[in-house]
Amino acid sequence: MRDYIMHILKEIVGQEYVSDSYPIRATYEQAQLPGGEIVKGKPDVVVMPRTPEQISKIIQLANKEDLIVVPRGNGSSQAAANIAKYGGIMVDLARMEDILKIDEDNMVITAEGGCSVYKMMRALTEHDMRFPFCPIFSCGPSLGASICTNATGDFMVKYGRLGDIIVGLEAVLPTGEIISLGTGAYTSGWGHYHRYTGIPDLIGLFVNSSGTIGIITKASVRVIAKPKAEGYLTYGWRREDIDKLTRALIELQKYEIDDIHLYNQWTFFGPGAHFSYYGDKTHIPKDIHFVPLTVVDALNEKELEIKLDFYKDICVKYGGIDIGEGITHYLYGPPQYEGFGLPGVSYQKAKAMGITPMMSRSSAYYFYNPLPKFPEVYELWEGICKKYGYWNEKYIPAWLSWADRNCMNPYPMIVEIPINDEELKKYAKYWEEFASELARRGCPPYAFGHSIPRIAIEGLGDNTFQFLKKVKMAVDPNNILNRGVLY
Amino acid sequence: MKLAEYKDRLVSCKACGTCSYGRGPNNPFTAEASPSHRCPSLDKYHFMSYGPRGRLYLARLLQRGEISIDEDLAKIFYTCTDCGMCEELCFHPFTDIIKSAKVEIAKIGFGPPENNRKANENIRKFFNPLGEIGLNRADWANGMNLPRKAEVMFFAGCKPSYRQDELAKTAVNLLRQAGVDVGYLNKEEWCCGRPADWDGQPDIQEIMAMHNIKAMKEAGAKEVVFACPGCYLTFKNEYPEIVGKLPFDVIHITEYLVQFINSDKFKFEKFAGKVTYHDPCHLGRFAGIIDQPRKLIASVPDIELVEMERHGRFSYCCGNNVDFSNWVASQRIAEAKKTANIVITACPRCVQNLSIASRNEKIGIPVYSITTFLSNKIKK
Repeated sequence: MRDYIMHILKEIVGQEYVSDSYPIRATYEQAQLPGGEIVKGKPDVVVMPRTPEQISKIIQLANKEDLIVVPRGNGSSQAAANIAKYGGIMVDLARMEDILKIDEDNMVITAEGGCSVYKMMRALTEHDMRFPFCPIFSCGPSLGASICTNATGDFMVKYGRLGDIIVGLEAVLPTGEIISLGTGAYTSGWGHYHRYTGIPDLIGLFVNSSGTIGIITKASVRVIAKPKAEGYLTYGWRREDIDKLTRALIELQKYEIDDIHLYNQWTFFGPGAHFSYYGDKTHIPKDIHFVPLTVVDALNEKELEIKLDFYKDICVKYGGIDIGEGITHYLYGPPQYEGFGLPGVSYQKAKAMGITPMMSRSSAYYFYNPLPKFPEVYELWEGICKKYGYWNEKYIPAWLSWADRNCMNPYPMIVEIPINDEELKKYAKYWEEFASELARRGCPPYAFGHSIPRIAIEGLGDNTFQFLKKVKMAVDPNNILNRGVLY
Repeated sequence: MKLAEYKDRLVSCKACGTCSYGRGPNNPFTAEASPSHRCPSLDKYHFMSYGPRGRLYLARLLQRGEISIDEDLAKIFYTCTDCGMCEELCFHPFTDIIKSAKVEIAKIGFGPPENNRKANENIRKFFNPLGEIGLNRADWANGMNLPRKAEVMFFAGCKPSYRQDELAKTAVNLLRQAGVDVGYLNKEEWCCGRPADWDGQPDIQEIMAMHNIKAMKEAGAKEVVFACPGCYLTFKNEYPEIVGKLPFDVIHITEYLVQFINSDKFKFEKFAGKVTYHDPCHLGRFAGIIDQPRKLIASVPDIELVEMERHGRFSYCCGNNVDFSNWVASQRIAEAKKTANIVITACPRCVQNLSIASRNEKIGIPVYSITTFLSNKIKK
């Protein structure tokens, strides 16, 4: 990076918050797999602003000098949208991590764009409140980035994704202006309590924007009171009963069961699979191929009992085999809870238990499909896995999916991908083929980024893509913000 | 282990960031989330590179020969405080990997930092990192008539021996109060070698290990009791890797004393104060000794033991021995001040760092080692 630009950046944010040191830039080149190995790119400089005004100045400088700006949150990076593939200024929001307000009467939490969502969830717990849905991406995703990717997670059936619960935000536009959206935009008003202000929904423009429309510096999110009772039920289905399972999922979703997290057998039985740590505590018969883990919440134990009976009847009606609370309890239920997904246990704890857990080199493609089409999508994936030689214990093709309000949010993964050039090339082909085929059938990716095939966006049709481009050009005439992600 | 031996482990990091940014809760009913602030060096420097995810990735590049070693890289690795919070959050053995990376860095002269380098040479020459004459090591024990041979031996550690003699004396007093005929190696006790090993100079630790184990054997030790968690952890985890199974049991003093709290050996005076316990990383997170010190403190009548937000497995570091230790300690002491009127801990380094921070930041909260605190409360 040119000296005078470094000098100006240091003047804007302070000397210690600007670095063009190689090791520092190098750590920002990685995304989660496959981005970590397939999509890479070092920023020319990493900057850590503290205020929207500082970001505004950085952006104005970038416009003047024709430099790309890549915003970055905590870096879950499922779609590699936060990778500086073409260099530029990486704006890391890690210093903007404060919770600004918990409004218990309006049921809204407001935090800075770099604030960890987990931090917010912790704070809400102390107020007997919770996020309507619980984003569980591996790291504590930051709020701004979670909006940019429209984060998903547990308990989406009733409340949808993050984009569905935002009531206000503040962002720095690619031209440097700082804007506020939602009712909080009224300068002398009552703050962020409602998303809609009688004009087109501009907040929606930032949802799933992958950092191309603006840098979100503050956001307000609707929260709910913590339910008073919770229960679990776990039924299993054989592979040949996928149609029956789909019917059961449709019914459960129709009656708004709180959470469905569907897994296939590889997830539990593969040697390096996610939950092999739990061993035989899962109590899952070997011939069971699908296990939807379900969570039910209620106002009290009485209501919980009624709801559990109701949902159990649906599972039984469609051929579900009762396998007890088993794994659901281990994952969700107190006191065994150890943190969901990867990792389930700490290294220190594992060491004390005398085991040496090995994390898997997994890689997932997140997308959406209509629930009734689940059998077709699963068959497609199974076929492609078999074509690439992944349908076996060596690679562990683990199907995982959440239920969203009216659809399915799968993120099937190949758990064990050997990291060598040949395997990575093969994996990249698999990824491209699967993602492209899904897009052709009308299944959108969870978010777009450098690792998502172009067809996933362009497949929406020329008119849609051109309109999107026009919007982007209007707000970012020099295309400085995350250049190359959208176009 | 050499860095190359972690090859598979390094590529199996999927860069999720849990180690750096914390974990959970995904389920509001069972919300055992990690604290909002985690890795001290990430808290201080903010750049992802200074967190465990960054270090693991740089170790991967280093192992593959895809990055050259320079001062910037060395700084990133040498600012890890060895607090192990990342290992509480993730499966990976971060600290072992960081140590292996430091060996590579130290080999070509970019580490350790100058002060540490001097300290490690002091260990080699004088058997302590402080540059003190070995003959003076046992001055703290003058007049205590500690035998040099016993079945239960006390390992004082360098700081208590030269800088915090009260800690060593009170530890011995408590052991004697419990009726233990405790022995002490005197000047034959050498540094455990942990600081050098952590700095990427394991050869120095090996020398120390061979000597200390030999000396303990000759002393007829069946149990060795430690007041310093660093020394304790080194004997417990590192020495067996060098020499195999040790011929004696390795016990931290809080583990040892807790077995006597319900006996008539200890009768404490009442103390109506509000205290908090700071878990030393090496004792709490690394060794799982979390309840024992608390039980000891709680055995003092009328005492009010309250927890800081970050405690037990998720306790925050005191700053250990890095170039921003004071900053970390000042964060921690401020947290303690919000919680209680007195801080008790069980590590000489923590006592030192937190006391300095309390003084420098004008926080004015006293910091005691657990042995000093308990010893002062014994009914005369």
